Amino acid sequence: MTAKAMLCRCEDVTLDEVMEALDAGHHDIESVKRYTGFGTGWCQGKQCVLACARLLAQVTGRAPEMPITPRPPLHPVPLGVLASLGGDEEG
Amino acid sequence: MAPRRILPADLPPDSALARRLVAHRPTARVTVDHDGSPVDAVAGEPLAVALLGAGTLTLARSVKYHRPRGAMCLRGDCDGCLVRLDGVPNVMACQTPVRAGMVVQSQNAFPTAGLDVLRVTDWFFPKHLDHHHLLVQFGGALNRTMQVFARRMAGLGTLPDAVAAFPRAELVAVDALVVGAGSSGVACANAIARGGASVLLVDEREGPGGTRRDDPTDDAAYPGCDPAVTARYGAGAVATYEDETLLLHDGRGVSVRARARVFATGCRESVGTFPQNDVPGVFTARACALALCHGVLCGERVVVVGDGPFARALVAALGARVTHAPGAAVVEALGGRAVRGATLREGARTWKVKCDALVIDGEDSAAYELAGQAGARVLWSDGRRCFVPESDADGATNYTGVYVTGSLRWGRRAPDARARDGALTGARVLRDLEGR
Repeated sequence: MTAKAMLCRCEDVTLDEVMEALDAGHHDIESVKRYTGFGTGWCQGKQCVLACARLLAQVTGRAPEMPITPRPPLHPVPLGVLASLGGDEEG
Repeated sequence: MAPRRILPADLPPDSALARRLVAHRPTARVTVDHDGSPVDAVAGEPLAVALLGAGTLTLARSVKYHRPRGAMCLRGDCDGCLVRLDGVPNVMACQTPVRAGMVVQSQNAFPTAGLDVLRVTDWFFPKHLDHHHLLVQFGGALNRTMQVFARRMAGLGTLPDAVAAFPRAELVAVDALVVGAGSSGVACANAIARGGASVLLVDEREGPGGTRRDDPTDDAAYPGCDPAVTARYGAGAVATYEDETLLLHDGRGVSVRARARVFATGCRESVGTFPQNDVPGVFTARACALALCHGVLCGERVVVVGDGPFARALVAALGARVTHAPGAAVVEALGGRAVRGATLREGARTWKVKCDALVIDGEDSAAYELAGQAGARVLWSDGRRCFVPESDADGATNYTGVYVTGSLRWGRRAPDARARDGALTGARVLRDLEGR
């Protein structure tokens, strides 16, 4: 059987793995992220942060107040593009 | 049994979809190379849609278990359609317009995306493989061996063939930047421009319309931009910082400094968390609708689950070609390499359906990330069951100069309601620009 339910498909984190994190006492979204690594992949949490929040609301009866901090970039960007920004100081 | 292209002649001539397909009849047919095979495509359409149209569901393998991966959202929100394109790894095929002569390679697959021997990790670890905690259990030589192995296996894609040169980023300064050219974004930009302030309106799509671009039953013209608005399409905002927003426009960085930033980024779609939710052939309803607007039907036997606007639009456009389960929820998807059915549940009833495309219109959610990066406070909404940037009556957030408008703020509403909200936010931006 490989009927995995993917909570975070970018990092292959299963629902089962997240439930294990909850059983281990991690009941806030930031701790679950650190324990399982969900939300750290290609999509940067665009799919899984919400899936985890809805799961926490369902299992613990309380949704997280805030998401994990949305950090730039929105999706991976070539480093050359970031380097091309240079900076006003360097001219 | 695979996705395929449909022709206007396949559809009732009086349907909006047929009219759309005739109106956007492809002018330039081109060929791209996918893993050595020629694929017929239409210049300018999303590469992921072209590959679907050629019947290709599986494009890559997942990072850890090497499970098959294919397009799921077609909106740049998932990992499904990453390919190696012209020697550059990890290119989102859904966000890349087709050009003649593109060379597309599947990645992260040994030897091919269709058959990958590393899938054995998936069979060996039927529940999951907790590599974070597994590695720390071993000491000494075993740990070092595991680390070397893990380093070889980790990561997605391999380095580019060549070092690319990136031109220096363009610098732009405006009074107001509006991100998202859907109904609310266009109305907002128009309101600001008509008040005399300089406005840059940007969207990653190839034109205005936002959600309406993906509705196969909507063939009305999109409201136009005021001539005073500078619009850039194919220009996605990829990051916002304290006083700067970074766009990617034709592969080049553009740094925008604006006194006011409005986010009209709308909603995201997802399929939900159920067993086998990642199997190729499981799509969001919007992805299926988007592909259909390009003349690609995402399967021969399409099952549509849910009763959201995209599910209804698909049923209206395709009629008896699809099976619709408006009140059902997916218990699990069936199939290993591609979806071949699903177990559905509604109330006390559970049943199985056969399909080669499982299309789900689930709960949508606010695309809050860019507004959050810019400084807006993002909070859980019990009503919408998602995170939403906090805003006042006009769409001003807690962070000076950052605004949100349209579906991002309210969830899906009719286009004219979204436009009214955009105009309201635009008027507020003008007042604030004059006051500061």
